[in-house]
Amino acid sequence: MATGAEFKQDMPPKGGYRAFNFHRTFPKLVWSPGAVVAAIFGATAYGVYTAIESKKTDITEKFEDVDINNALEPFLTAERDRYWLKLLAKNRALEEEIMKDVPGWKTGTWYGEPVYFTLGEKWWDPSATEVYAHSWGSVEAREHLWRQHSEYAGPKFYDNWFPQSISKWFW
Amino acid sequence: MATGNRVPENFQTLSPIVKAPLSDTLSVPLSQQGRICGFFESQFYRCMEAYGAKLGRKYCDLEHRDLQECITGDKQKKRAEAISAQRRKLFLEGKLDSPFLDNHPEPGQFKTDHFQWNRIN
Repeated sequence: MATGAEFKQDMPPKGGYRAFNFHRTFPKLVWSPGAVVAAIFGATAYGVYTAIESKKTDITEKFEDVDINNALEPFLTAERDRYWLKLLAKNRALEEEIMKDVPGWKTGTWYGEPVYFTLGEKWWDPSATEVYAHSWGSVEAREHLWRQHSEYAGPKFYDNWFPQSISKWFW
Repeated sequence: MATGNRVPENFQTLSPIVKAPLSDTLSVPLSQQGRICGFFESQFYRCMEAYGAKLGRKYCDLEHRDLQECITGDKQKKRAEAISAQRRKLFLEGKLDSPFLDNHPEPGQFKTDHFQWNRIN
């Protein structure tokens, strides 16, 4: 049975408890408000300056691109026409070569009957059906794909992932 | 009613069958105006205007055929089919290594120029 000798009363430490801080406590001040406000304003001003400058640069770059394109336009058109006329001349030579044994066939006509009767000296471009008469059907399909190609038309990183028979159908 | 204005080959009429104020508006998108074949259509109608509906059937036959050819492309299709058939025939006879060319019109080289200088006539 418990006796009074075994009971020990807990007492305050020697010298008493430390003083209780009942004052309001503030976190340690790392940056002074003035510095923070100055930094924010500075960063904003720098960002605005950078944005304005980069917009000016973009506008200048666009202007240069358009300007160069305008300056090159006659040459690009001439190159386009040159390719187109060379293609038509080659098609004509091919037709001459292929159809030389067909009796009654005249190159550029349907057995001597012209495609258009009333054109005279006026030039009229042939349709894709005629232009692609010497080609595989896939070549015409590729042309349609090419017309919708993205700006980058060079080799792709996935070129070796698919066999040629499949990859020619997509970009 | 434009019963006398039938063009015989293809059940077309030179003027709208029902002539009403609204038909003038509605007949524009049915015409070839502003398209590639608008040139041939205007040539045909100019000729028909000159000769009239009756004589025009005789004297505007070529213009009419050109318009039909531009719209349907039948003669060009026949030509292309004849050429490819001949190529296949030559290939089967062993005179060609391949019936068709592999990379013949290279990509981007098919550039028709119907609308050069922004005009179609």
